[in-house]
Parts: sequence; structure tokens; C-alpha cells
Amino acid sequence: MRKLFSLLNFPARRRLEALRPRLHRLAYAWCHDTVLADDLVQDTLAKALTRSDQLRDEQALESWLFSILNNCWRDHLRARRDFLDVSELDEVIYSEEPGPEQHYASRQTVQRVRRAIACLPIGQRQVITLVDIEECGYADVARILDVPVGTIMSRLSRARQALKQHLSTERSAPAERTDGQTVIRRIK
Amino acid sequence: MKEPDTRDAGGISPTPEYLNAFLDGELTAGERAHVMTLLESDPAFKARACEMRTLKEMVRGAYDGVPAAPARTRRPAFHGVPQGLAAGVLLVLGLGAGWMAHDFSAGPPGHHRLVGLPDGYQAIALSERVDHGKIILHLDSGEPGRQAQVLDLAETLLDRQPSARIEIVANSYGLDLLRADVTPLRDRIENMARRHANLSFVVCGQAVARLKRSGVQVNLLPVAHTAASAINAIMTRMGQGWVYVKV
Repeated sequence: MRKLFSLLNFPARRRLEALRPRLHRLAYAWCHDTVLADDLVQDTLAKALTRSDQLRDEQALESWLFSILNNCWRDHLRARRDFLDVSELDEVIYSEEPGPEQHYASRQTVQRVRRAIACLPIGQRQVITLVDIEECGYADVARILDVPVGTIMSRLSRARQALKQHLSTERSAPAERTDGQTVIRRIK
Repeated sequence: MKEPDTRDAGGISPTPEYLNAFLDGELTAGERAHVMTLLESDPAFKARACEMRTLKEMVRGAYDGVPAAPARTRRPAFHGVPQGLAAGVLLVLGLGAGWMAHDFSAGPPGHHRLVGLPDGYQAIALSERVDHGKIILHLDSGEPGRQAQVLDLAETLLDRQPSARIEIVANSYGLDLLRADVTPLRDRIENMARRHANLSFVVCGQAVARLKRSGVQVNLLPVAHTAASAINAIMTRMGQGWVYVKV
């Protein structure tokens, strides 16, 4: 409630501008595409205004915006012909050619970790980024993504195991080349 | 955490889920203390925990400096880009007014009923403390029809409410209305300004600066005032309870 009060007393533009970088960072962690991340954030803010009546006082504004971002991201995936069933999010990988900003990233570790995250199924990728980057609690993540807490915990566990494995094998082997296309594929 | 499944009763190390819950701060104080004693007594578990903590920090660090999206004209930034102004204002207002509507049970978000406003226009207000006697008319088009329209609207509103304060804010191509050597309506504007002391004309300082940078000489009508930026002028006014109408 105090948050709501303070929000009402600050200019609306500042409020949104203050949250934009965090939304952009999260969107980027999900899609690894600065332009798409920017689109998703724009769509999120646009949807936020039409749904502002859904925001309950006690619910943090950030979590609410993250859940809208999640919906925008799903809409984007649904719009792709080769991706039909959102319930399969946990088994689908979304990856793209490393952008120029990744080539110029100063730290190799950052590139390695981002590459490893790009290899995670979308559902796992969303969970681990919400927990580690946004420091959301499991219950918050469950609400944002609209899945049970148990699923959050198992996705997180699988995501961390996969990252660990990816990073330890990558030390000895060079990274796989990408084919220059954004790829969505199912893994079974 | 509900029903922790430590599986350590028989000396087996905690499950990955339980270790995660520990690292992510999801355990209760008692459960945390339990894990701490395990860390002391079980070197293999401690190594695992350290590894996972490092991993968590690496993920966190991997997105510290996320590159900004390249500049694009299709999706303009919030302010400073004329085409984005209306959208930006509406976006901000929609959210702001939505909060208000939520709290004070006002009308639909943003929209506002303004007495004397002809059909085809939409009045928007930011707060519940709206002053119907203070109106911003926003023009961003250089089309002669629109230029005349904004003056017509000002006159209509002033006929209805002679004491109203009206500010015509021009940016982007709307600037032409108040450029001495370009406007087709100079006489009418100066005439209106003489008749109505409470009618003012404001131009966007950023739009002026942009034109000057591109080598255009900008001569404004003497009645025009310059604001630092149109969006700031509009947002400030709306925060003070002014009603906004886009022409």
C-alpha cells in the first residue's frame, strides 16, 4: 500500500521509465534479442494501461508487469507458425545468432553464461532468470508464469543442472556454431 | 518452504531442489540452520553448494549490462520524438488514470467528459482533481485543416467558458502554426490573442532546436512562448489538473 501511495505521488512518466530497464533486462534474458526485447517491453507497458484495474493493491507492481511481459512473450511465440502449444514451453528451445553486442561483450564469462542460458528450454530459462536476476521468490515466479510452485522448483533444478553441465563441458570444447537463424525446436 | 524433503536422515545429501531453496532464500530459519550444519559436516555437499552459488552469481552477472535496443524510428522513445508524443502521453495517462480509476472509482481510465467539447474529440485527464476551466489543446500536424481546427476549437471552448484558460501546445509539424514566416493564420492568431488574455500559445523547444539543427531558420510569432519540451509542458499541466485534448 505504501508503494501504491508513493507511486501515485510521482509523475507517471518517471514511474514507467524507472521500470523500463528492468523489464528490458528480463525480456533480453528470455529472448537474447535487443530489438525483440524492446518490442516486448513496449507491448507490456501498453497492455499494462488497459489492464491496470487488474492490479491488486497488495501485489507488487513489478511482479504484475513481469506477468504481463510473460504473456507478451507467449503471444510472440504463438505468433510463430512453428510453435503451437504453449504448454510445451518447458521442452522448447529459443535461440538466435549471437548479436553484435555479444561479439563485443568484454567478459568471456558473460558470453559463456548467456550461451548456456540460450540452450535452456524456454520454461526453464524464464524461471532461472526471474529467480537469479530479479530475485523473485518461488511463489512470485509461480504467480508470474501461472504454473505451480512444484513446477518452478523442478524447472529451476533442471535449469541449474543443465547450466552446470554446459559450462563445464564448454571449457574443454569450443562453442557450437549457430546457423544464423532464430530457431525454435522441440526436444524430446 | 513446505514439506522440505531433505532425504538426509540416512546420511544422504539434500536434494538439488532443497539446495536451491537454500540458495534462493526459500527456507525457514530452522531449515537454514540445518543446512548450515550439513555444510560444516559434509565436504561434498559444501562443494556442491559452492558450485551452485557461483552458478547463481554467474547468471545474475550475465545480464548486468544488457545492451539497449538500437535506435529505431518505428518505436519512438517516450519523449523528444514528436511522432511518439501522443502515444507516450496516452500510455502514461492510461496507466496513471487507471490507478486513479482503481482507487477513486472514477470513469474509464483517462477519458474525461469536458462540457462544450464538440464531437470527435477526446478529453483526457490525469487525476481526479480536474479543473474543467484549464484545457491544453495539442497540435502536432502542419496540415492547414488541423491548424484551423485547433483555433476553431479554442474559440468554441472560450465562447462556452469565457473564463477558461486555454493553452495551445504545438510540436513537431504543429510548430508551423506559430512560425511567423510559415503560418497561413497569423492575423487570426494575433487577433485571438488580443481578444483572449487567457489564451496562450506554446511551442516545443526541442522541436525548435531540431529544426535549427537541420539548418532551418525559425521565426516564431511574438505571441508564442517556448517550453523546454512539449511533453514536459503537457505532463506538468496535467499533473496540475488540466484537461488534455489532442487535435
